[in-house]
Amino acid sequence: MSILQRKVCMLGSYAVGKTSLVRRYVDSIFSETYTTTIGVKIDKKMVTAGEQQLSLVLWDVYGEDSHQSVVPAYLRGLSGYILVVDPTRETTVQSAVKLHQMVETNFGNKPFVLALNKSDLKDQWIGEQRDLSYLEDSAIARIETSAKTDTGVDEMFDNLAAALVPSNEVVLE
Amino acid sequence: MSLVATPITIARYLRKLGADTRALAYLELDQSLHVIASGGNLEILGTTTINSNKSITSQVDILVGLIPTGTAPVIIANAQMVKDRFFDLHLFKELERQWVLLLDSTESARNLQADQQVRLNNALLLEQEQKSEKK
Ligand SMILES: Nc1nc2c(ncn2[C@@H]2O[C@H](COP(=O)(O)OP(=O)(O)OP(=O)(O)O)[C@@H](O)[C@H]2O)c(=O)[nH]1
Ligand SMILES: [Mg+2]
Repeated sequence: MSILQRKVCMLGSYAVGKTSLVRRYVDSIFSETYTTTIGVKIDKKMVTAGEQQLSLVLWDVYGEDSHQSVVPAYLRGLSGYILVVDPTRETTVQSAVKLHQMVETNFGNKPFVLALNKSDLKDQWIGEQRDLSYLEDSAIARIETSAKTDTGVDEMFDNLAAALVPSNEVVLE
Repeated sequence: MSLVATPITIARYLRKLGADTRALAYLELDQSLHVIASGGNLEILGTTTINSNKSITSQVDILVGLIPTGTAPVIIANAQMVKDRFFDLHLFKELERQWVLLLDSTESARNLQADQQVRLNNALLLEQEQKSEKK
């Protein structure tokens, strides 16, 4: 069977751990040092979903902050995305809602996994929250992750990959 | 990229943009997205050899989902495939040909990175202060 290529975007507020999740997934490394992303860094990883070989082209896009929003051109042709929240910071939930709506407006309904990152800091997480429940209801999966302790990272990408193979795509559209 | 060997379409586009000196590489693709012509430094795309018998999207990851475009340019600023080498990607169609143009943006991206790092480190600190005040 031929290999399918799928563009997947990492989306979220600044410093939620988008780059760290990709580095953990692709290179099995983690750094405590915060190096903010400019523009986009492209990576690739092969996965299998059922019988199907997939090549995930990962777009680690710069984060949202009060000075800059993610522009739709970066998301052109995406098949799905990972929406990353840092539940130790409530504002990152609002950013995620905004990004989710931006995708819907420009590209329609695309499958996404909601990643609640920094699960190693769970004692500092905010509690139940309306915007968070809204995202949890729209996502194909909600996964607690830690790039630091390597928790849930493979699971997060596997869940999205499974939604990107053709038989499942039909159901979603 | 030597401007002597630059196709007229690219030369015209660069002149309009006023970005001649930043030109790094280009690809000219047919309707099935196979390479007809290319020039400049393609290593920045993470590949050295391009096979014109295979679709470009199976060889250059960043192009997956992006092409084909319409005649209006699609621009991706500050893309990075090889660590710390930044480029602006310009994609447009002209006369049934898909054009891919890469402009060097490494220097401006480096400055942008330094500014953004300071700004976001400060923003994070402020968030932390506000959080501990609330408690
Ligand atoms: N404790 C903990 N820290 C993390 C985790 N993931 C990322 N970090 C830290 O959070 C900070 C930001 O991580 P990045 O991966 O750079 O965040 P980003 O979302 O890519 O940020 P931008 O590129 O600026 O949008 C860094 O200091 C990381 O070390 C995690 O799972 N647990
Ligand atoms: Mg980043």
